[in-house]
Amino acid sequence: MPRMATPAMHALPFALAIGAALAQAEPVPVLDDSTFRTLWLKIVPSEDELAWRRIAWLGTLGEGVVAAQAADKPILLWAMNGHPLACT
Amino acid sequence: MQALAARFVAVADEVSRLQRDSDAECRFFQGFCEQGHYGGRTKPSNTRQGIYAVTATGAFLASINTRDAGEMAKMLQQALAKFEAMPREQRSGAAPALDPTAIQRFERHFPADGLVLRAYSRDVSRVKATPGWRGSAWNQDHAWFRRAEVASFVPAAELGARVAMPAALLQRFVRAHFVDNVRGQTFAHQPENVVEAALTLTCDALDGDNQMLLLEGKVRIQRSGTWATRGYGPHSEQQLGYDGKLLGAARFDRARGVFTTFQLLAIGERRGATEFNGRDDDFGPAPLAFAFELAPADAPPVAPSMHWVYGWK
Repeated sequence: MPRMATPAMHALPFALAIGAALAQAEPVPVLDDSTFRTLWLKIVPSEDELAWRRIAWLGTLGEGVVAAQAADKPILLWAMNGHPLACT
Repeated sequence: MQALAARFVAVADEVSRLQRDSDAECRFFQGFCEQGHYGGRTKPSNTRQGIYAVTATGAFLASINTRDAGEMAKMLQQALAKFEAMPREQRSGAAPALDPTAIQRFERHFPADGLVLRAYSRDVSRVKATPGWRGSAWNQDHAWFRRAEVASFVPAAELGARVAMPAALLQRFVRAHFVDNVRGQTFAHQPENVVEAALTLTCDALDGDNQMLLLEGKVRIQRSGTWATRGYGPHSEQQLGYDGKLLGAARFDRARGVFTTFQLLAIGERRGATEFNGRDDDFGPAPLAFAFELAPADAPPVAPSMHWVYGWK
């Protein structure tokens, strides 16, 4: 004869599933007036992360061709899937 | 590296258009890219992305695709040696090889008198550490608003005056810029994926022509469909989403009709992965943040990466 399941037994898989979900969840930081500054500084890139901006990149190859011809310099072209100065 | 780079005219550009389209700028690129590091390659993709050194006449000097500074310096030195061995007329020509003003790029819509924001995305407060560059990855983009659009979401110069960003404008902003591109490119959201979005601007201080604004809002994105979650991988049923809170502050100069400061932060929870966004082992849910700040006036006018969402013709 099959053993009757108690309410607690029915709840067990559900509780385990919730527990697993909670264990995997990563808390979202609270965003309010008191946390804004700290969070802002964590998100916006640091000077070190933006070191590449110290090079005066032009944003289009065409501009580079004109500038290089005028200056008699070679072109250094950084060409990526997604504009390197936007999103790549 | 900076000293070496200063001996070149440094240019950054998007390679897909350059290798696909047929205007003078694209033809210029296509004239040398097959001589580079990915020349002739078709798998895993036909991309020609990388770093090239060429002359203003389109002569190939050297190329590489690397993050190694030493390898990069070596390539640049080789390129300089070749360049300097060429006669001036051969390497630079008597006139520019193309006229960039004749090329119809999206940058022609640059809203110099409107609002140009730098957009950043980054994971925040992760509990699970991800090794390597992916653990500290961030990405960037640009968000554009025309002057008339700006006027539509600036409240009256009265304390407490409040305006909600018009729905169509906010939807465009969310579709193109609240995307999980932290570790790599992803796709724009469709209009129906923006389940909820609100952004209000409230006048909370006045100082002569300057109006201090409080920005508050929320965004909820939900998308389901069939796509790959790793590069060139199989397609399967997927879901992604983002639920975020928005908070920020800005200063608007009413005399000039421009923002002089702008900081908007979004913190929320993301879910899911797309083919090239590097989340194939990190579907979440996990915290994700977006930050938007005023771009400096002298920054290069680089178009929003998903500018087709803007619908500007």
